[in-house]
Amino acid sequence: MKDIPAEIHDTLSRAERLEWWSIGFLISIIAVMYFVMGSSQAMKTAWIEDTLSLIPPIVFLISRKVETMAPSRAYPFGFHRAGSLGFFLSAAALAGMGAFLIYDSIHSLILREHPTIGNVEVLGFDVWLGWLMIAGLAYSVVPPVILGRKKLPLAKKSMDKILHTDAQMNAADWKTGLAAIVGIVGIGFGFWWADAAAAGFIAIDILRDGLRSMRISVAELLDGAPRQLDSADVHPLVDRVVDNLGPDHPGMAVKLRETGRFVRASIEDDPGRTLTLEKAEAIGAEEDAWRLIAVNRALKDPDRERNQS
Amino acid sequence: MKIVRTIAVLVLALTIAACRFPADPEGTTDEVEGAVLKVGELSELGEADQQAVALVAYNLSAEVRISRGDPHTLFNALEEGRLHLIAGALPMDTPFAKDVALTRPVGKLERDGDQVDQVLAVRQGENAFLIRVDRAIKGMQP
Repeated sequence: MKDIPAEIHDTLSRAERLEWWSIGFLISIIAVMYFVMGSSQAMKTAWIEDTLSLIPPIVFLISRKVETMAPSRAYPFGFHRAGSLGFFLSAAALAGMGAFLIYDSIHSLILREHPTIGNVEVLGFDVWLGWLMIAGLAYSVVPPVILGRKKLPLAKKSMDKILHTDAQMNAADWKTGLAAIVGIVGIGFGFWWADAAAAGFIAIDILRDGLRSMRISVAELLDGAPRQLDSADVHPLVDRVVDNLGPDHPGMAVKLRETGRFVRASIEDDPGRTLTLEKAEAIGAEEDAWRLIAVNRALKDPDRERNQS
Repeated sequence: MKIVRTIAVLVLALTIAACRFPADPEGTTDEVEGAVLKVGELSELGEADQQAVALVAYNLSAEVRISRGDPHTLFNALEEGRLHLIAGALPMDTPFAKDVALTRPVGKLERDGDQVDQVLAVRQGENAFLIRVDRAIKGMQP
């Protein structure tokens, strides 16, 4: 994409390679955990979380393909926000699943469901399945934590929200694994409730991830001001640009919004309408003139323009 | 020093627990061992069921006491801990499977020309007991 400096382009290519590795490792983790799952609720919840964590890498890779597509007649502004839409959908799925799993573990606690984990035969040895679950969970935290730590700086550099959320979720994955291990060790000691309680903690984590991602993506989909990557606060770039351009445009507002990883600034009259109905009609609007409220022109050199105005 | 003591306590706790890991939340193994194994009989016990029950009782040095009843009463008693084991041509895919724990197969059942694994049922979550029963009937390859 020609809008992106070579350095950022390289960063994104590295991120793409890491996401392919993530998908590969996640599939192996999902397979390993599936085979040792048994009837532990904590294990099931951790497995679902690992399965859901396939979504951000996939959304990232798809949106990398889509965002570089050329603008068309139907999409004249291009597809910079395709990723945000995918991100919103996956965040909603995550939040919904988290809420369901919280319900599920409370349900088990109330019904006093005692998780049964028996022995299995492995290569002729009689082994408690719980040990295999713990081994599977221990494996499940290692690759994501390493990959997450590698992805985090790339996300900050390329201002990629999907990548950033994915990296944070990965880096915090050890908590899920540990919670599930505690649950299974708890079953081993005869505390039947440990399993459902651990599952509840993991589910809360999934819900929180989902809600945080939803908040980030909603801000962008509603033309919100650019946000910082790791919080809901408005990015300092906004104040800098407004301070720079504002004084030269009295009575006008400098507005910034985020489209994908890019930021667009525009200088507009503060209430939305800048165009009178007559003007709108003069440039082709008919009875729908009320809908055409502004015509924008991109400034090649805002510095020079402000001297003229 | 605090950490050393914590680790010492943890190691001690694990050593004590290692005698039985996983444990029974409701203590079924302790209840049965050297005492009475209460068995619910769904239907007249066939050869495989009889042998399995005898093996479990022998392994736990327990005396067998059999009660008969309709399936719902028996499974309810098992869930509440008034029975320890249910036997009697119980198939692997029994509709009661989600409320109890099933053992490894003790034989095969004929059903509409197909073969189904025959199992025993124990109380859900009594993992030490389940493992004990599974080990007792291990030799019975269907």
